[in-house]
Amino acid sequence: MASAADPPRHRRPRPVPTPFSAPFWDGTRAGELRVQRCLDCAHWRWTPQLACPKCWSERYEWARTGGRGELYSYTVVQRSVDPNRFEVPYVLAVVRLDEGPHLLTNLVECEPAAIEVGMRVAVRFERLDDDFHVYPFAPEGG
Amino acid sequence: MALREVAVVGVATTEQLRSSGGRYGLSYGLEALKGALADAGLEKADIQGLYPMIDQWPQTGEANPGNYLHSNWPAQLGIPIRWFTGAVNSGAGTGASAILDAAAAIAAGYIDTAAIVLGMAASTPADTRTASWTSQAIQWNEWTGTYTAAQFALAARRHMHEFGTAPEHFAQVSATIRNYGHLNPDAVMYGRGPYSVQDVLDAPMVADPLTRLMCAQVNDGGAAMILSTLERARDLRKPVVRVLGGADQLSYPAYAEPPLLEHALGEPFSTRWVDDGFAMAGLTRDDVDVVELYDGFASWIVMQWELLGFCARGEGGPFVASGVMELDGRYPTCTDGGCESFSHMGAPALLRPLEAVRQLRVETPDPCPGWEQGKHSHEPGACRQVRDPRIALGVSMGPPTGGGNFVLLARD
Repeated sequence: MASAADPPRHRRPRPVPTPFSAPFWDGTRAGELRVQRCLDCAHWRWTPQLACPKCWSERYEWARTGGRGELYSYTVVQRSVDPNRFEVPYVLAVVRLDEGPHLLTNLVECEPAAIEVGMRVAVRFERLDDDFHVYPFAPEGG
Repeated sequence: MALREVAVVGVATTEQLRSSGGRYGLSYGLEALKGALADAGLEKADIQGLYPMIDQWPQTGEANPGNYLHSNWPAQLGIPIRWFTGAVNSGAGTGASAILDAAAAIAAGYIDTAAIVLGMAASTPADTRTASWTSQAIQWNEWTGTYTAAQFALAARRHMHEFGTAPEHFAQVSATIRNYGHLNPDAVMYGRGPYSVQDVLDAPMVADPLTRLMCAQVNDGGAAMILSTLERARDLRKPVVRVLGGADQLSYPAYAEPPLLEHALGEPFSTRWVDDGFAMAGLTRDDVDVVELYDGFASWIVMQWELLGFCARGEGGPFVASGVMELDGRYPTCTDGGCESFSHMGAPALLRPLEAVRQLRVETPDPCPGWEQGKHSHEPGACRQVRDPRIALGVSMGPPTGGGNFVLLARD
């Protein structure tokens, strides 16, 4: 697997943000993983929604998370979605943040044989260009 | 309003094939629609309601007419349309949910006859990418390299972690279904088997734990179904298949959300929506003779048995391992070869209840010499027709984040 020093393995598609989602990408560029949190009931939600699914309040903030959590599930992908963009094998993962929400992401800096559901992971921002940093995760403390 | 009873009066499928060679999805849809009308003995002027899903419409006038041109259907078909939906419900549109929609409109008396039509010609990828519908330009997902198989693999891995489900369970699902397709001359994968559990496990890995033989194929083709009142159906030429009931439950959008098992199985987990559909039909799960599940991925079949309440949560693996899906099992399942072997034309949800109709009519091509007269050996491995089925369950469940719908059909 790639280490932080290696050149990027993938030619990832650039995210196409909307005015609604721009604060999220501003966050990753600033080294913060931000998730919507309801200002009325404090529920953290992902994926982004206009209103809180718990209390339907439309008042929210893009709150900074600790960027840490545990591995909910993973798969080692051997058939690339697009061989011109993604080099196999790559690891797709779902991470449960300590704040509660689950994110779809990649697991990096980890041999497939060492991956275990439930392992602790932390975000490793990956720069795509001046505007976009994506948010794969790696084993915590690795 | 007094409700009227509803029946399936016509079905048809076109050739299902790997690549359409430039033909439009609309062309497959029209061929299938003509076939279903002929099967029913009806004329095009009989169609009042339309539930279409077409992936390619020729650019006859506008530069970009889109895929679901509501207003062009009357112009193309040469008939007015009195009841139309785009059928955007869960389970990829034109499946059980479209049958429920059409049945509701007919039962209520808005229309007498409806057609569900499906035509897909852009499914087979033209380059090394996975099929176009397997991934979406969602900003939270696209950068990860995710696509359908990987999304299902994530749910499968979590199921293994929580419940001890094994890759062998998934492999048995695929071997069983693909061995039905091996016997079906209409299947894209006809004659490619038979497959053992080990053959499925040994196939190239796509996204672990899912091997290539645990994943649906990709192909093109068309299908159509005509529904009308039970009264009308009894005057028509084919054996009558009644629509007794069903249910639909929307969950999270397809492939947009992280594929959490909690979402796939309902949060909080409940089979209430399924129980309601059986109660509506006056049936229990014990009454079902043949089951057509949506086998986009083998792991999803394991979970569907749980979602539908045929076994307890977490017990889908041992349930399928008991041989329940075989021709001599309790619930013969995906008897045409399913999405894995018969056809997966991008959004093929109609094909599952359509095979249920063919089973109830005893109209299933297979190696039995007398199949055209409805004579079958019912020998596992040599025949795919269930013996004297009276009740069939047709299920459309698309994405791994749940939502789905089903219809209960009965031979009159």
